[in-house]
Amino acid sequence: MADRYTVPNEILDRAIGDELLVHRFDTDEVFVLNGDAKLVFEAAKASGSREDICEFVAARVFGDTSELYNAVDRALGGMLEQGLLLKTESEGA
Amino acid sequence: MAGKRNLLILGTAPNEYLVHAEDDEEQVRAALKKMLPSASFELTEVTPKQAERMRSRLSDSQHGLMNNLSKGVNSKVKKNAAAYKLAINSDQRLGAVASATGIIKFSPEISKISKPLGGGIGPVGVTVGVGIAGKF
Repeated sequence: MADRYTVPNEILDRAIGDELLVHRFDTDEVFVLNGDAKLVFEAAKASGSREDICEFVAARVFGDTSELYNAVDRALGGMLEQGLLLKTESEGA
Repeated sequence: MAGKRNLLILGTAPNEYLVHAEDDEEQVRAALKKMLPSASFELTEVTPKQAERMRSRLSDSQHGLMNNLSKGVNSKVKKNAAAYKLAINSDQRLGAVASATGIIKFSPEISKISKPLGGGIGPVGVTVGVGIAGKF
């Protein structure tokens, strides 16, 4: 089983410079993601699995991989908490 | 930008990296100094055997990453590449984005903001609608 991340239908995002403005229509809440969080969010939109998201970020960021993956996990957790992403379990990797 | 060079940098252990580059050691050192202006590091050339040993510590995702590099980067790096061991002399682990202007800490942040009062899409449409209705 592999965790997959998806963006809920109620989410609309728009890039403003380096940042990303994210609007939750169901709650009418608005969030700003800084450039690093934007990278994680866009990776989640494009790929879905935690591994793919980590690789997407690692391909663009120079740094200690384990530290980087921890930062990605923290960001994914924050996005889940705010309802900007949904996590589902899918069969296989 | 003065020039472009291909560097392939892979984390093999905490604060230890395997660097492949087609440049000589001094050029690689200079390029890394630009990428890590505030970090103290040691760069040493390694033999193909040592490089292979370091590569064996790479994760599956890192191997996948290497295979997914653009053809241009891969062929150049593989064809002429020398291998170096980069050791960062710091207790702090790196988590940084290399940019044209320097180094920025990788720190994803999510902030909730308050919408301005009366902001939104709907009310503007109502006002316009009244004007148009009067015309007919």
